[in-house]
Amino acid sequence: MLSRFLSVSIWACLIVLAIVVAFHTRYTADLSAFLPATPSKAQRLLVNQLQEGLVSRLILIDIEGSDAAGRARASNALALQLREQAIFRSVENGGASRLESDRDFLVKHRYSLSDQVTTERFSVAGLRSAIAESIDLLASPLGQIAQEYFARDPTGESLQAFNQLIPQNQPHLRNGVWESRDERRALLLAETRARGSDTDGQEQAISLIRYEFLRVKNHVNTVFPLILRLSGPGVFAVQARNTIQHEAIRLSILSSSVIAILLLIIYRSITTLVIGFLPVVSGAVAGVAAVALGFGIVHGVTLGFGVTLIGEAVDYSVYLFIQSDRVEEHLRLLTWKEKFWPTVRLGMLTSICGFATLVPSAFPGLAQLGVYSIAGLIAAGLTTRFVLPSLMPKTVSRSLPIRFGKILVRLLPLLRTWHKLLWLIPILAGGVLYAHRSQLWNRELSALSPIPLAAQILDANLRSDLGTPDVRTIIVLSGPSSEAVLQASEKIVPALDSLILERAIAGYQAPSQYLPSLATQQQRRASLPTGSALATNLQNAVVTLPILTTQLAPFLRDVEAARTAPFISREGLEGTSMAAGLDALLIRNNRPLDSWSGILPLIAARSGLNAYAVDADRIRQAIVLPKGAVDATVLDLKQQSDELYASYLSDALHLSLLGFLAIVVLLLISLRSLKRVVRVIIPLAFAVLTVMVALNLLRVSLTILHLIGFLLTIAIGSNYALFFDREASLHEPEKNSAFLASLLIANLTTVIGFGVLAFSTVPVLAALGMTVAPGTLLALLFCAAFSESSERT
Amino acid sequence: MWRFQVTLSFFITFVFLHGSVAADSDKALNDLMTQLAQSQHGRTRFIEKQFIRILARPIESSGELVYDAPSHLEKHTLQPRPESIILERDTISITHGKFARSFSLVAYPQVGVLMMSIRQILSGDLIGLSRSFAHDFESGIHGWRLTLIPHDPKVLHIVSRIVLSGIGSEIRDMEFERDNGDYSVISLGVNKSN
Repeated sequence: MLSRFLSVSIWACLIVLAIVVAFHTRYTADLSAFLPATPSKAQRLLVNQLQEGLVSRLILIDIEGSDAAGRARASNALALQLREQAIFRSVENGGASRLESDRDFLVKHRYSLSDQVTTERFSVAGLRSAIAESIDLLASPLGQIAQEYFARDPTGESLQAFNQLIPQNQPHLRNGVWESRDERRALLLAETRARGSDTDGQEQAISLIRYEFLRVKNHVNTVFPLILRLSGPGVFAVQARNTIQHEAIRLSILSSSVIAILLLIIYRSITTLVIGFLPVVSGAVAGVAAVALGFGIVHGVTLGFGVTLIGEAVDYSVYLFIQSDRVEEHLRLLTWKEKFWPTVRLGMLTSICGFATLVPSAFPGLAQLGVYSIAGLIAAGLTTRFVLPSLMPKTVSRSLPIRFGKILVRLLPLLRTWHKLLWLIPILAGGVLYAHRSQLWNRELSALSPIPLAAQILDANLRSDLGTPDVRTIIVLSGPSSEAVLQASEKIVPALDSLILERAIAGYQAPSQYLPSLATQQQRRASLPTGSALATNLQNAVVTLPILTTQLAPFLRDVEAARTAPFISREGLEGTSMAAGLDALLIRNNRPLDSWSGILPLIAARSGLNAYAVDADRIRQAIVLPKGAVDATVLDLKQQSDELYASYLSDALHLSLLGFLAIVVLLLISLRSLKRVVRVIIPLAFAVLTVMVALNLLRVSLTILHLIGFLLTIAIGSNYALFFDREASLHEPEKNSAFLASLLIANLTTVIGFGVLAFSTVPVLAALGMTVAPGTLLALLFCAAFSESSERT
Repeated sequence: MWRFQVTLSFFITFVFLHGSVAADSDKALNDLMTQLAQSQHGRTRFIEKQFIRILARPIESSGELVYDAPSHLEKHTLQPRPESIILERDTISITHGKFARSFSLVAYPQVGVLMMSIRQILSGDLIGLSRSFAHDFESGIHGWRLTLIPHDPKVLHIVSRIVLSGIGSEIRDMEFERDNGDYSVISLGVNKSN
């Protein structure tokens, strides 16, 4: 009595503790679950880019509906509203505002910014050709603008600075705003201050855009209503978090209620039902608590996985309630302890073996799944063993399962007659899988993306319409100071310019375009002649030109002023769009402390040999930096992330095979018979093979989550196999119709639990569902088919 | 007395003629615009002389104009240095040396007003033309002359007057004047329209 009270109290205390731990944990849905704990340098840079790079901060805004003029008005109004919000670094819609405000800056600092500023430029010959060129410009369509600055800037440095700074790949313009190529949508581009990995910050930015859009919609008159659509990494992260949370909750409620109804029909008692669910709840809570304690942070994927624990843990109580047939309490406990628990325990240990191999994985996502499953299964098992027998009602209605079981007893011989046929499975499966071996596994990280395909397509379209930001290849410069990084950037830029001429790339951005290094600024300043020298050179230069020096007096004044003006620093850029441009490309790191990174995004050529994909090796050869404090890494983000996923997948594959071996060893030790081990393993292996072939024939390429699904199938199926094995060894099989009924009910709950998941819109959850539901059903059928009848033994 | 008579006869002649001249010129302008509207595609060489106040000499350039009704106009300068300007609906794309960009006419009217005016004339849309310009049309045996003055003050600042002259359905010269005294003259070659 006392020990029983003790076990229940200890259990209750532990559960409360676990709940407290679970409540004080941080939950995250970012990509870090799929990133290795000890990344290589390139991987760290990749992670950095994905979490806080410029690309991760961009929100693509798309306004549809009405007519072009209405969309343009809405685009301008929305941009105006959003620019006032501090949470956005910049909001672009193609409107003039940016150029207007930046023009003054460019004109003012032209002698620091223009890369044409050299000593030769201000010699007689240099001035002559520069001024002649500007005169041509006066006659060009740009003449109207050029004329305003001609007297101050006859060498055209402002235009040069403009060319250097303002990207050429501007999207299509109509009515003064960016428009998609199909001319049905206005486009805007917002850059958030919040990092891409800051899902809360992204969510805040997204709600603000939606809110301002509603206000704009009410104020701007349009022919037809406007529709807003958003895309971008931050939008996806928020969507994914919401979908996973929403689906995980919805699906677990759905599957638990269906399971509950099924069990209620069988037990005809709510008390029994509630008690039957205790191992599930204990397992889920213990799993989360264990992950929280072990990792400090719980990934959304792990939580989503929690649903699946219902499938296995609810089986434990089913076995207990239906298989223990004595009415007297002490006898009942005794039969449970001696007859059934050892089998359940072995099944549990088998499952743990399977999952334990995930724990040492280099990827936090996999390791968390391992820890979660182990802790959850142990908690569920212990609850079933020590707590449930004391709590369970004196009489559990077993009339329905026993009637049910009697039918199964008659069906069993039928199944057994087929078992020879099942040997066809490995032969056929081998053939099919070998023939399709190249499409068996999906090796792209995007396969795991919780983003629906439609959203991915919208995103791709928006990016292609906006032109620039679908950055895939970047050069990362790492150095001890911003000056060092800027100087390195300046050394690389000429190589990139020639790559553009060779059509290897279409364009690039570099931090030094926005802010020349101090050394360069000093060098440019040194090339500006003194007042009298410049006046003399100018006098001689214009002799053959249709212009008089008296008209160029403002030029002499401006150059003289530039010789003593302060140099441009990051602070000096404040208030211009160049500030945001620079901040995205020149980043101060916290690790290592006070180091700096320069990012040079490359834009793939639109045609030719390297169309749409930058040849990273060619870039590496082209941008050789002198040995020094700064080093350059060329990073192909997609290739890197796919490589990362491939290593993740092969990591998981190896670990799963190891887990399978561990299960075999465990079974050998406990069953002490190779024949019995084979009999336990074969139906499970056949079930997994069959599902693999079926998925392959349905053109589903397998991801890491399918693999986890197979592991789960083996973990759950091992219970069935072990029960059949035990029944065979005890020489009392068919008689026990309750035994067969308990297995089928346990299996039904599993199939329901995972079957529901198969319909999830989150690929990760759907993959688990479509693997485990049919897998466990087949495992049970195959176990029955391979079981030995008592007559033969 | 004689003076009076002369004045009177002038006066009478003027009053008498003015009505018929006005009616004639309206009809002639209508005819011209109708003929222009019929031309769907045109390609012609041009010579442009720009008189810019701060420059001591005019700048001369030459090239080719291409028009596709109703909204596409290209001006390719070949001499003294290649330059191109393409107007497609409300977007203008300019290539000048290293400079290659597109502008929205809404955001940067100063870049494309001239091209836009040329397009409006070539399209033969008299109603559209009347909406944008106050116009005056004179025609005689030596040809016709169409003077346009923009209504929009923003445009007026960029081009204060456009004078077109030609013979029959052919435009020979286009003259653009700015309010600061700068002006340019584009002379069109034989129109090889088809």
